[in-house]
Amino acid sequence: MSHGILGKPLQVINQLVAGNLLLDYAIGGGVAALYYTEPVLTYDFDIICRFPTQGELIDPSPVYNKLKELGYNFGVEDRVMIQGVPLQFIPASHGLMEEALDKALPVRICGVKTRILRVEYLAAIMLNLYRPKDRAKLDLIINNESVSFDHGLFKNILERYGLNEKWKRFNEN
Amino acid sequence: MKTESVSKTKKLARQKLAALPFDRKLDALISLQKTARDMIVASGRRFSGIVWRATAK
Repeated sequence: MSHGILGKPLQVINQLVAGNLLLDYAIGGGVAALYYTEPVLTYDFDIICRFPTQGELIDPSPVYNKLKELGYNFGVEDRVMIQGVPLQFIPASHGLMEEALDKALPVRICGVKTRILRVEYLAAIMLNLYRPKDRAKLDLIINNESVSFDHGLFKNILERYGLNEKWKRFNEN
Repeated sequence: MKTESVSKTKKLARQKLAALPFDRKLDALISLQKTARDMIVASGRRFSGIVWRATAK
């Protein structure tokens, strides 16, 4: 079994899920883009996750306490360094992000069982964020024919989350 | 080489890159991070990213 650079971080996250400190998670952001399309520059390992809640309040502190207990250091913007990889926990907000997490696909990465956002949801999230780096990655996903992309599903997501105008704008540029 | 041919070659190269095993893509990502760091440092700017593995404990 190969444990590449993401093996240890994924094992640690799975440990957090097993300990009920995280309810659910999936790989998102640049690493998910890298999974589906050509190599693209990113510095963060984004984890879209669901924390146990008490009413409407999200309390990530048990996760951070556990990571500190395991000896991992925190950097800027709550990134935690696990074996040289800066991990960022992004709570799945209601709506698109939550649905994306629900529909994430089971995969095995660096020998570890995990889940990753479906490429159509990843593209919709990037379109929604619309920062230059998101648009660049979206372009790589959309315009690479070897990416298996369900255009019907993507259109459906855009429709339901009011992203048609942004999509139109993206295609005009 | 004609422009059309260049664009076709580029398109095929991108498809091949996308089809690489994920482990190889991760190696390519780390190379990209190192290149970006070297270019930023060489231009006298401050590098604020993190090259993976460089800080592995």
